[in-house]
Amino acid sequence: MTSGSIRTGRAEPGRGLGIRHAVAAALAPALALFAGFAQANPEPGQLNMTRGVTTWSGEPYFLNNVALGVCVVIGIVVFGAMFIAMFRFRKSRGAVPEKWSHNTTVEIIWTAIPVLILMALAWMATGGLVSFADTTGAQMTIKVTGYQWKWRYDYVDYQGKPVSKVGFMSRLDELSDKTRQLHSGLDPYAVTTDGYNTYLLNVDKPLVLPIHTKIRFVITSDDVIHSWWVPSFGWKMDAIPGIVNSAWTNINVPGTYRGQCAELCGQDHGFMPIVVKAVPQEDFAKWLAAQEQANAPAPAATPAAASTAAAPAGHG
Amino acid sequence: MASQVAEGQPGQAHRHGVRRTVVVLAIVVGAFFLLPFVQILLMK
Amino acid sequence: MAHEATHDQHDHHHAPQGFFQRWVMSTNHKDIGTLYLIFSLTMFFIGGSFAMVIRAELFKPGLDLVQPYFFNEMTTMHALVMIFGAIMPAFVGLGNWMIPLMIGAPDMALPRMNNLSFWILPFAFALMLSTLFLPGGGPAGGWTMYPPLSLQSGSLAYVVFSIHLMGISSIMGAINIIATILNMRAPGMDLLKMPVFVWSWLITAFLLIAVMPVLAGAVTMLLTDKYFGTSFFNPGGGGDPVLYQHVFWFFGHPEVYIMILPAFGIISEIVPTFARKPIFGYRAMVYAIACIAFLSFIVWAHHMFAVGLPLGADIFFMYATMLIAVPTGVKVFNWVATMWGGSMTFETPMLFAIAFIILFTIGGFSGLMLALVPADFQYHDTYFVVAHFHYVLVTGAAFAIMAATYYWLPKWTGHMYNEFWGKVHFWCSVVFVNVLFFPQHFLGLAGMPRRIPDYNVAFANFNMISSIGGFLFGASQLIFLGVVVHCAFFARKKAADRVWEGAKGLEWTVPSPAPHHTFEVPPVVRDEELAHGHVND
Repeated sequence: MTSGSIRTGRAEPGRGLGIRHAVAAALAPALALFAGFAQANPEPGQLNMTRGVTTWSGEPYFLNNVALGVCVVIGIVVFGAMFIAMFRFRKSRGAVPEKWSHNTTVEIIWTAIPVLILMALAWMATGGLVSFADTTGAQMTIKVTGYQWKWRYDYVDYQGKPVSKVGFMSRLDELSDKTRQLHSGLDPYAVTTDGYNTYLLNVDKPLVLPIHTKIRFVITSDDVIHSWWVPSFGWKMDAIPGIVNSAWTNINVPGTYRGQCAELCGQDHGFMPIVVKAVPQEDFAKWLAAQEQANAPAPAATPAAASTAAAPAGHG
Repeated sequence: MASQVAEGQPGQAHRHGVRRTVVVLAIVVGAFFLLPFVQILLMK
Repeated sequence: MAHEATHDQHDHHHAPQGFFQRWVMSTNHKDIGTLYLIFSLTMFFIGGSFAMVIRAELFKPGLDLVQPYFFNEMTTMHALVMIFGAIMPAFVGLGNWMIPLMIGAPDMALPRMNNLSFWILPFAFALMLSTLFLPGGGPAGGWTMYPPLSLQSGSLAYVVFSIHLMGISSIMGAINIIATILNMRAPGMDLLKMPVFVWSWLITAFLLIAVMPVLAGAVTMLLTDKYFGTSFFNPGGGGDPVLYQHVFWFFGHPEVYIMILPAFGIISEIVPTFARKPIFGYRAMVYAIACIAFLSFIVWAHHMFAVGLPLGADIFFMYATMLIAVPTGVKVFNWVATMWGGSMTFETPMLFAIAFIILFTIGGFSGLMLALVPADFQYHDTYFVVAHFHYVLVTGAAFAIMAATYYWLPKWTGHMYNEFWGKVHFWCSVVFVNVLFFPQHFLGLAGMPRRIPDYNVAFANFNMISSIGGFLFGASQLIFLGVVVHCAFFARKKAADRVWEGAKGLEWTVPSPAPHHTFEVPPVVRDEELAHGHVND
């Protein structure tokens, strides 16, 4: 097997955090230029990646900003040199071509400096990667299954206790679905929820999650490859048939976070959004209890079924 | 057509070199075609 | 000297008179090169028309023009046609035309195979494009053809067969180029005196030979999975869909360098010519190309950071990918150093070459950002990636091809192209291509996935800007067509043998237009006539 299998803890979280924070402090003024503002959902005219709302989502945001800053600086130096050359060494200004075509010193310098910059970037990226790979110590497990063209969520366990038969399909909301039909004549700008345009970014049943809880996702698919992506969480993970991938998140801020399927999965690939409703732990416990209650009237199922509650039967 | 080919053709020594190059490269192509199949057999 | 050697002969060796005999049965490297270039230009406009459909649908939110499935067919076919039909044949055409002229060979080593390599292509593309008109439609699972999705397509067999044909064509072309370069060089044309373009093609040809058979193997497995009951990639039968991605990208990453290394070679010819100064660090340039080619084999999984690779694999592929920035940086720095201290003029080829260096570097920057795995978890499969690879493929590969066309067109036709309209084409292209692709970075960062036919209104403004840029960039290419047609058939201004003042190399010692047969007697190579002949570094 080349990939897949659930990741087990092999990470040393926190390694490299010190240097990253030091760099962050040093670069803070420079970053302010293009750091944008932390948003939960895409905004018109948004220029930069979202900071996200989880304990980990700052990692990609930070790396994105640092790498962008490095690229901008190198770009200014290289393109600046080019434009100076284009201005100074023009035939129309009487420039006479020189004969040299080699200079070992500068060649060593411009090989070595990029290597050093890359090593610094690699160090920072490795730290973020290692902390992401550590899915141990999760207080909750959610199973995500991709279908053409909807998502299924199953609550596997919460605070160490198996969850009994809470799972549902989540698909594009009706208004978006009507509006998105070819020549529907409906206005995408009229699809709003709570004053925010949710055209193609709303579902009939959102995934409800508690905040301040380390949540482990196990992600798979029933047909073709999909990819589960909520930008505010800072990662996407492919949902692949026959393979169970895992990832984790720990949400800091209550709110509604929207995302989309990120792997081409057929004709309605653009129409299977993801909506996560993050609520305080007390609210979540109440919600979960209510869901279990509602699904209780069929206690015939064995308790073991709860941990693998995929059971897509009947959910066309 | 034959005469047309002959016009632009390299000399005898070149032809030997060309033939050897083509044989070696053809073997490389065959090996790389089999590579994914071998990889899959090894992985299973 | 080559000039005298060919001058008294070429008058007696005209091209065959009959149209069929000259073009269909041709074994002449120049005619076959022309055929490749015409084919490529045709495919460029066909693939471009697909892109126009895509940009028109994405002009504003809401589905207004096409069904989602047809949109997916357009994105898939746009990629397949542009990669295999436009960019690759254009480089093969340029190689066919210029490699024998640059190394002092009378023709390609295997002229009849050369004819076959070309004539396979029209049939392969007729087969592939015909699927658009068949019930069930064309391939719609992306040019990467990931199973299981690609196995749902009814046109898979057509696509697999046409990819087999294209692969055979490319492999034969690559064998031909290697055999030519290794065996047919004029005496005195040592390997390390060859023009960088020839070097870049030699290395590219090795990449082709290594990876096209791998692609053929991968798509063969798709075919047997769909029609013959095997389960290479079918999880239901014990297969692994991710394994396809590993095999595909083992082909796919060298493939993207196949589309850029000859471009590096072209730029390395043009910049010294118009800077009137030898290329800086000739050997470093050659070694950098070889180094990039080697690294291309060990970075494939950076296309797969979201499939759930083991941590160790993520780290290895991230480091290896970042390493590519070093030789690529060396190339960019060397081009800048070539300009430094030169005596520059800015004819159309040079303008395209300069735009290439700047815009390709921007594509390289976003490539470096994409290499950082945690950030890639966000970028992956968004418009940020779309912007990245269009910067390296359109303002990279396609701009280099246009630069090469303007650079060598006078040598091919014997007439100067219209410099004014060439410059109009350049400025329109360089402005609109940025209007087209730069906003796509922002779309990706804001969270717009790629390959979607419709989007939330938050993405509306940048999509509209991008579409306007797209339409104008597309229209600008009609100027290119006009300039080329004018130069080939209507231009009056004769081109000199040495078309450009600062041009060096054997191709400028033959008359313009290059006679049907050149270098039937190997030229005497004098080092000072070569671009790098006297260079010891």
